[in-house]
Parts: sequence; structure tokens; C-alpha cells
Amino acid sequence: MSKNKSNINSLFHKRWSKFKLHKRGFYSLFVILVLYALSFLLPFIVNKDPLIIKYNGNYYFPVFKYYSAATFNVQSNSEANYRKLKQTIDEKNKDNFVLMPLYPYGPNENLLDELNSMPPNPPAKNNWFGTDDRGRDVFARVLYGFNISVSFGLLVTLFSFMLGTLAGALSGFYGGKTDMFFQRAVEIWSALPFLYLIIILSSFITPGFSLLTFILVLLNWVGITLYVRGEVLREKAKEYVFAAYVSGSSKFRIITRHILPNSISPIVTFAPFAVVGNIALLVALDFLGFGLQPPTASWGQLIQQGMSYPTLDRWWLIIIPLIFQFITLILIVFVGEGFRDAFDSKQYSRLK
Amino acid sequence: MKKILQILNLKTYFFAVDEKSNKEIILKAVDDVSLDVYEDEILGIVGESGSGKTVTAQSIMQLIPEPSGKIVSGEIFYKREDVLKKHGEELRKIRGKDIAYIFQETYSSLNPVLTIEEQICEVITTHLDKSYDEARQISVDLLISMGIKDAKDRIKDYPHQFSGGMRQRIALAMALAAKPSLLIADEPTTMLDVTIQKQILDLLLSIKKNKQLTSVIFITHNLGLVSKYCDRVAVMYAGKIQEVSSVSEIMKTPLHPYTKGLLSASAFLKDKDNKVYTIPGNTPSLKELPRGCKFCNRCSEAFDKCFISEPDLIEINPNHFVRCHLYQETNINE
Repeated sequence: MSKNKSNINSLFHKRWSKFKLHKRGFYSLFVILVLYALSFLLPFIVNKDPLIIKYNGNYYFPVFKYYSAATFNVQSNSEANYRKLKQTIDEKNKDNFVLMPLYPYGPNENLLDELNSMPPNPPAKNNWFGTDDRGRDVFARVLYGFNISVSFGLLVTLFSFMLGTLAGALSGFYGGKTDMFFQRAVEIWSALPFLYLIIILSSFITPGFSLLTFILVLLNWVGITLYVRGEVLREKAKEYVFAAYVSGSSKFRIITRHILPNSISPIVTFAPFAVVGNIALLVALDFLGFGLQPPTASWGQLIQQGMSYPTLDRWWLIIIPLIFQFITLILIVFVGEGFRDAFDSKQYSRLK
Repeated sequence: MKKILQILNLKTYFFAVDEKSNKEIILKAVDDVSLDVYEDEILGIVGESGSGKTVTAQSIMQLIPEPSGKIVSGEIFYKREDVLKKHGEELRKIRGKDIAYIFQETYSSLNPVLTIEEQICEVITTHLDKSYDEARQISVDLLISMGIKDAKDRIKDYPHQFSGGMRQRIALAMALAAKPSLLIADEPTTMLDVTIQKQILDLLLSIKKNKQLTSVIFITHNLGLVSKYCDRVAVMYAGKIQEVSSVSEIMKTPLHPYTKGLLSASAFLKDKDNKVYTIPGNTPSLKELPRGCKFCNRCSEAFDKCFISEPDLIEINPNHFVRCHLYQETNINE
């Protein structure tokens, strides 16, 4: 009973209920979270591998496991083409069956032998959003690209904010020479032309997902440090911090338990916009060819394929990833807007 | 009487850069203060704003923000151990456990994002060997004894849900949580209105009577409160102690002109025109203190010598010390 009461009154709850009042932000957060959660189930929704196959009395689960083509009496060096397998099994109409995902094409699957013309192919009945220039299904690639882009944006933001918060907190808390050192380091670091740096780095290492995340974290963390430092500088002079000192709390505890929770607003307010920035950055890097390596499903690569053709004949390769990017980013921006309003203390005091 | 705390020749200076001359200047916020706190007493430290009373108290807890300020020299003995020599882990064991501190600002001395329970239990679990559940029970009992009757329900509340007086009670509970023997109360009631002020101080007095605390250092600028609640009083001015005596004696026979001024400036003493007396002038800036006695340019009884040399703190009557040329007869005869 009393627990509920206190929860309603905590600052977090105040902000959360204020955020809920921001309808656009709240629903955007809901939609983006649901979509992102669903995107982890994509292998069961959009995939070339069937969920279940019943073949000659045995059950097979190709989504989870690799079966050689011979298992199903199909001539192939690798896995069977399950869509064809489904056709043949359906025609024979025995006890056997193949349960395909809703949209039976994979993101990295080459459809050259099923297509009638040279790829890229425009949107059609089978491939809703057409195929790219290597004959891969654009719908599947765009959806998988959503998962990768959002994950990438979240991870880069998470880690760079962790690093930035740590640096900002130390800098603000210890002040003096430590502060001077951190601030100069941040200034030098932020002056690095980092697009060039990535281009140079990409020329001798091919960054995978985690390496690219790491590089971008290293280049991105400086942004938040200044804000956290400012907050910490302000909070550390407050009397509750002195009160924590005089009651014998350790410095570590004072930073983590007293100062940082009170310095959280810039971190939360900036996070959604940082995610937006990082997603856009990933698309840009992919577009330029310095991002994630093929065959990773990526929006930037699709746009690049579309743009590489002199006319706009490959419009679906440009429009579709851009629409997806636009919707994703605008949802996150709305969330950020909601957070910003919820953390804006000035509105608390507005008279009505 | 046994001394619980002994401050010897404490000097706490602040360093600033003068804007005009661009030279570093030293602000002697606490200049050679020696003071004893005995067991089982409430010692009042009185003075105007900027007289160094808070800095003295903060020096005991080593709360002086470096590098702008520094305890330049001096020793502070707490039960025969110099607390100024303690750092890190050792210092943390004294803070809160042996010496507790409460602040003037009731609105910012509690962390806004933690519940009362979390804050009080933190003190208990830091210093005493108790589990969190035991600590919670102790906190509830403590809050009840501080006069928060529905403590069991309210302990899960956040500071902003309490009034100023309630918060000071909570701050007091937090300070007493680890059973310290000395409490430093830095103007604990300045921000509160008069009725609440009385409640809090009566509470403090009863805590001391109940032997929950051995001694209290009570910092205030209100001599009226000192006369009512303290056993002894030290009057500070411009970073120096001007007069130390028992409260009863200082009320009867104040010696230092500054103490006299403070007493006649108290609102309950009005002169025949029904006007409250004020000491002329303002507290001097620490940047430009007079050469002789620090009070000379506001003193109505000042004479030549006061402007030239600074008097020493001498014992006039038993346990009554004063720093004033009026009483330094040997000097006058010279």
C-alpha cells in the first residue's frame, strides 16, 4: 500500500506521467518499442527457411537448424530451396507439409534463378518491394535493416553515453586539474574530423557490426560529457551532497547514488536524439560504402544501389529505405520530444 | 569536565584573485581559533554572517572545498585523536559515526531522488553492522522519536513531500542515525519560522537530555537562542574568537564591546525610545580588515591602541576569555 503511494510520488513517476500526457511521444515510444521487439522475431516472419517441415513422417525445423538438401531428396550443393520444396510437396499432396513464414524470402538470399529478368526488379506480386541489384528481396532487407539500424543506434548511444557520463562525472566531480585535463582532451577529441577518420580506418580494416559500434562510440562519447559535467558541477555543491559526506559516504557512493541520479535529465533528454543521429550516421556511412560490410542488410546500401543508376529507374531502391528511415527517425524524434517536455522543469511552474 | 573536542590554533584560509591588481589574496576565514567543547554541554558559536563560524564547523568535518580553501594549520582533537590528520577511510568512519552535522538549508540537504528510508538507512548500514531490515526498523523508531508520528507510512516518501520543519527533523534523524556523540548544528533553524524553530530546538535539547548525544555545537547568529539553549558561548568576529564564556555570565556581564552590541541588538532588548539598537557599520570584508583589532572601526569604545595592535585572547574571570584592549591592563600600562 505505502509502496504504491511512494511510487506515485517519486520524481521518476512524475516525469513518466507527464510523458504519458505527451500523446505523440507516448504512442511513438509504444510503436517503436513494439516494432523493435517484433523485429527480433523476423526470422519467424520474414525468412526463406520454413518453420516446420513434415517429410516422410519426420519433423524438421529449418529455422533453427541446417539440413542438407539431400534430406528432402532435392539436388543441391547446399540447402534446399524451401519454396520450391513446398510447391512440389503441396502438388504431391501426401501427408508431408511445409509451413513457411508469412513472407517466404530471406534478406541475404539470392533469387537469380527464380527471377524472369535481370535484377534489380521492380515491386511485384512475390517480391513486394522488388529486388536489389543482386536479386535479393528488398522487403526482407529493409525489415532486417530496421533491426540492425535501431540496434546500432541504441548500442552506440548506450555505450557512448556511458563513457561520456563517466568522463563528465569524473571531470565535474573532481574539478581542478582533472577537469582541465578532461576538458582539453574533449576539445581535442571533438576536433577530429571523424568522417575522414572512419573512411581512413575502413580502408585498412573492414569493420563488422561490433567494430563499427566501437569506433563510433570512441568518436561519439564527447558530446554528452559537457552536459553531464555541468550537471555534476551544479549538483555537487548542493547540501545533500555535503550531507552525504558528513554521514560518511564514500566518494564512489556519492557519485553513483547521490549526484548521478540527480544529473540524469540531460542524459535522458539527449538519448533519443542521439539515437536518431546515430541511425542517420549509419545510413550515411553505408551509403558511402564505409559502413557495415555486405551482405548485411542495410538501408544505406540499398539507397546507394538506387542512386548509382543515372536515371531514377530504380526508384524503389531509393524510396522504400528512405520511407522506412523517415518513419523510424520521426518516431524516435517524437519520443525525444516527449522526454524533453517531461524533463522540462519550467513547465512544472506554469500557471493555469 | 572532560573535553570531547579540542580545536587548537585552527587557521582556514581561502585563496582568491583580486580583480583589480590581479594578485592572489588570502582570505583568513578562520584565523587562529582555539576552542574546547566539553562533554555534556551545548556550545553556541555566535557571530554575524561571514564571521567564520560555519567555516570553523566545516573545518572540523574537513568540508573545506579545495583548492579554493585550505586548512592551513591547526589541530582538532576528538577524543585525543587529531581528526585533521585523518583521510579517506578513517575520516569516513568519524563522519556520521562520531561527529554528525546538520545544515541550515532544509530544502536541499536531503537528496530529492531518494526516499527518506533510503537516506537514513544508508547512514546506518554505512556505520553500524546492521542489515537493511534492521536499519529500517531503527529509522522508523528514530523518526517517531523525532516527532514524525506516522513514520511507518511516511518513511517511503520523498523529501519534497515534507514541510521545512519536518525535513529538519528528518535531517536530525539522519544525523543521529549512527549514534554520534557530537552534533554540529549549523544554523539549523534559520530557514524555519519561529514556532517551528522552537519545536526543533526543544527537540534538540531533549535529545541531549536523553543522552542520545554527548555534546552539541550550535551555530547561530541569534543570541536569544543561545541564552535559552546553550551552556557556553563563543562569540566570533572576522575569523577570530572575541569572547568565550558560560551563557549565564555573558548575559550578565558581557565584556567585549561586540558582544555588548550583539546583546543590545537582540530584538527583545529595546532602549527607552523603543528602538532596537544596531551595531554601526557592516561586517568588514575579509579582503580589507583593519590592522589592529578587527572590530576597531565599528567599536564605540575604541581608543588609539585598538587601531595599532591586535589584542590577545585572555582569561579575565575563570573560564571567561575576551580579546579586547579594554581589559588588557598590562598593555595599557606600557
